[in-house]
Amino acid sequence: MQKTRRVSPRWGLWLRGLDEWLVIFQKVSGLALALYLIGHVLAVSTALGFGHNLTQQQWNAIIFGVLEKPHIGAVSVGALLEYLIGILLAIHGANGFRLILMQWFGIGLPKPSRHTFPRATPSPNATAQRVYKYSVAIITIIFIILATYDVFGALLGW
Amino acid sequence: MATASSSEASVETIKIKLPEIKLEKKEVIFKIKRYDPEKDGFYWKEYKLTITNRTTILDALLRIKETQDPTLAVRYSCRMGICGSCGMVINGTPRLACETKPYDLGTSTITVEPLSNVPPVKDIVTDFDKFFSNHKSVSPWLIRKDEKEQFEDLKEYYPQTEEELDNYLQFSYCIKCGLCYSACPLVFLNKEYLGPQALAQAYRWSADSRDQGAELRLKLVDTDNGVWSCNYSGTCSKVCPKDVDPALAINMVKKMLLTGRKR
Repeated sequence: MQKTRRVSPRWGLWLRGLDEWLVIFQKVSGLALALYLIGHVLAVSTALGFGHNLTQQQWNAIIFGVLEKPHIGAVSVGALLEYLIGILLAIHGANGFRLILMQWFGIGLPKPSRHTFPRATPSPNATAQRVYKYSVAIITIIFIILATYDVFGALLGW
Repeated sequence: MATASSSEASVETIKIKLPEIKLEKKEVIFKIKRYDPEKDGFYWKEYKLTITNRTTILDALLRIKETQDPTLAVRYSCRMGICGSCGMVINGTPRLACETKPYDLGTSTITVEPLSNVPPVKDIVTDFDKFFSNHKSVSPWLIRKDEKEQFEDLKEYYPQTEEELDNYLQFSYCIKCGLCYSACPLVFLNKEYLGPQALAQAYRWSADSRDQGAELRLKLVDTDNGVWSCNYSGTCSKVCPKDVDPALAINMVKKMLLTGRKR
């Protein structure tokens, strides 16, 4: 009998609801932010010469030469990177705050109750949870608009 | 002496009008993902079947087995949503075959697959060894400090108020069908994750006012492979056929661990 191999999942099941999408965003943004953090530390450390003799020219060469010089259209790679990181931070932060409020303080969790058949409302679909989830979505959208205005505003003529 | 006619009791016929049952028929194609343990591979097979609006998926599968393909392996027992044996992925969602009617699904092709996140045995029958061992690992039973009193000298049953019962009752309806385990994306990502069913039972017993083993049980689930693997996707609660709401239970356990309060 096969013991180790598991039946592969139906991916579609995890792309149906906002809850599932928030988990995907949380995981992906968390990974991207962790990679960014490593990259950021390495880039700044390189610019600082890893604690050795540093000149203003070396710093400028790394920070402005490598990160700010290359452009995609009218926007520098550095600005684009910061824009993406800002969006990821907004998603990760807003959803993380929702999870902390819920898991630490239990805010928005319904009280366990007796069943009302057929189909009691599962807790992820409870009103308080909807408010949480849509708040995360709205905060993220507002942040994206503000970040877009900041980075691309001049370019778009805003 | 009474006459024969007067001694006969008059029998009144009570006519009860039963609701009219309309049987509607239609032909559907069952697309079944089968597993061959000898070749260690999956393959799809299609069967045409005429069903009515009263037929369940389990009825249909058994009909296919009887009339078209006796090699089709199906696991079932009670046929009424109590035993939890016939869980499978129907049209992309984990459901109980005995509680799902193909007619209600509204599609002319119905896909049937084995539950995901568990190893296959044959066709749509899956192996629940790990699932049950995860369940057992959280000590899902009443733990008392004084075992002698519990098992030998029990003078009276442990009293419990209605309110205390409400704290855990909904989680005690679990039938161990494995639908939540199959639907959970975190079980897919972390093979060692205990899963929503076991964790819900950890809460069920820890929230019971008669239980004195919460400390021991919570220690077992306060790990990376325990409650902290859960990211509250809520898929487990959405597919649960008994509305047990494992996602709620897991978050209640987290709250217990972080606040130190039992309830």
